Amino acid sequence: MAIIQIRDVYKTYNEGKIPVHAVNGITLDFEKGDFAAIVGPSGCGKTTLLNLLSGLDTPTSGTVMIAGKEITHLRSHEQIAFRLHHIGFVFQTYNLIPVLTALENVAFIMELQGVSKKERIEKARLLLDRVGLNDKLHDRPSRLSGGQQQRVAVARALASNPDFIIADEPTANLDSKATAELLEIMREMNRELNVTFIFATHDQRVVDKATRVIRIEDGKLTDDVRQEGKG
Amino acid sequence: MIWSIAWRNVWRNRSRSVVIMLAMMMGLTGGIFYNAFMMGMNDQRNRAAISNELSDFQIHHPEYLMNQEIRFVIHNPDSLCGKIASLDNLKGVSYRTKNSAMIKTATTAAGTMVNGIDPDSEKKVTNIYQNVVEGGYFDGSRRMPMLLSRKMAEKLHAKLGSKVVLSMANEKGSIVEAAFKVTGIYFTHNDLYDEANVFVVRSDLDKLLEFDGNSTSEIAVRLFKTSEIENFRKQLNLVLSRELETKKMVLQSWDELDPTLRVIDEYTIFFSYIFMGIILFALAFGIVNTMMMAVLERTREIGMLMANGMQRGNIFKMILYETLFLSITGGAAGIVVSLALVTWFSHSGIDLSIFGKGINSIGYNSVVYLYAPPELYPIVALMVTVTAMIASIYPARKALKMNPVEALHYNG
Repeated sequence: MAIIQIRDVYKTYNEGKIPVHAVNGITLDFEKGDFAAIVGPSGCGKTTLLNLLSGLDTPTSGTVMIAGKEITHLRSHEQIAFRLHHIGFVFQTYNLIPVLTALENVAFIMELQGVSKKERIEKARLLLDRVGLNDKLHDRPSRLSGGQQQRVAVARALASNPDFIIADEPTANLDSKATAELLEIMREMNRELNVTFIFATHDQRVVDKATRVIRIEDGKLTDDVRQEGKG
Repeated sequence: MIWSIAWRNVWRNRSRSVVIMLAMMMGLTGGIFYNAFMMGMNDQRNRAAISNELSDFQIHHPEYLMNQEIRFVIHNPDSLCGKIASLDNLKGVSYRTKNSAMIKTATTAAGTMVNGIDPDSEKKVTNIYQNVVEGGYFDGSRRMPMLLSRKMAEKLHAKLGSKVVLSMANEKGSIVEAAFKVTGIYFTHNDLYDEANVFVVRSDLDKLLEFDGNSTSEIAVRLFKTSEIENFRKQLNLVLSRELETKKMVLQSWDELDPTLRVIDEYTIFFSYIFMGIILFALAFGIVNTMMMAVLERTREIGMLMANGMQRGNIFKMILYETLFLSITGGAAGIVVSLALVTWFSHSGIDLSIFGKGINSIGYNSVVYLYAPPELYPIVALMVTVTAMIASIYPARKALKMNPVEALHYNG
């Protein structure tokens, strides 16, 4: 069964008198375990689509169902609570909390979920170990490289046991080596934990690694290809 | 962890936080110091009034309060003083004969209040004997001795050993006169009092006024602890119930005798808190500004927190705690510095003798010992906390109104 079902979704902005369809009637499903890249030129609606399927934004029309639950009509605090338990995020600029250590950044999400201190510290250690940062547990983000910060962000995204992780241009600020390491870690997690990853990206290295490539142009779905044997 | 993040966020922009904390510290120190100065001045004025002039209680004939004439007297003062002497917490009781008079030297004259006192028992109710700056207190060695204030001595061109003449009306309305010798000169820092009062031995005055010694103008009562005044009043009301009920006499405490003291006290406290409020109101703008900068700088971070599932209530709390920590740290520093300064100057005093004449002329001592009542500090701490909470509302609302999508892509 599809973990995300998007049905005939539109997102229209009224800029002046001309309506702009950032997302123009997209219908799409994501399966559990997808490692999907949404690609397309700048301004084609990739990020808007991610915002809609994460509940950060609401569609002008159409429906978004996640794990069998329609999220478009949830109230603000219900959407926030829903995201906490179902969706992980990895951002282009890492967006770690600079005053917390790597361990605390990962554990913090679990604290919001009400996980006990012992359990969240244990799990945060484990996740940071999985992303290769067991020697950086107590370092603050300012002492980590960009690649290391993005790995902390991946561990943080996984900490809440989400149904899927949204990654908006996660490699845009990384060099080739860090990108390769990060993609390898994400793919491993995708395989081992069967977590769905959905990327919005311009980066061909991400596209090469993805098992599914979704192309969008002018807010419309133009292509949806599974790349068997990739990754 | 919200507490922990809020506390660490305070130190994220260290110099900015330190600047606002210093502003808090200096503002509060200024406010508390000013309050302690004003309260210290008043406290000293009240203490001086009690110890030099009023004592804790005075008892008079009811008519005497309206018209200070020698005919309005209390009878059997020895018996009354005997009853009062048996009460707890009593330091002393004494009675005085008082009369308005003209005081004259060879060159000039002035109006005055003559206080006929019993030298020994007076020592227990006022400190006038300690305020003698030239000559000595009444020691029984000279005939018709008189204590004159320095101010009055200057006015009369009198000095130690000078002869002065008191002229007054007695009970029958006849004018009586007698010569006294200046044996001591006193000074109380209260020019108004000093200019109006001279002291002689009660028996000398009684003889001049043809008093029988069995009546008096005033009974003064002094306690060990003025703070026990209300309990003592109850005791006095009991032992003097008959006299008070039949309106033969009236009992008044120091603040009833001189209501301006109490009024000035209350006004000082009221305006002290108004002053603190104004300081905190001004500081609140600094806090709001600092927190607004902090919130705007962290727009993306707040967007991330919302995206990741942090409820708006928790974001509000985070900003509130941060504002509280920022303010309370600055406020605590201000209170500690104030406490140290007030403690120091409550012992060493601030010498304002450069303005001494002006200050003495309105009844205040030229060396001011600061005084801050213990409850001032928790009240100021509470005011700081409330100010911080109010100041946090605007930046916290700003954070709450952020749209997570816009916040995540904010490039400010």
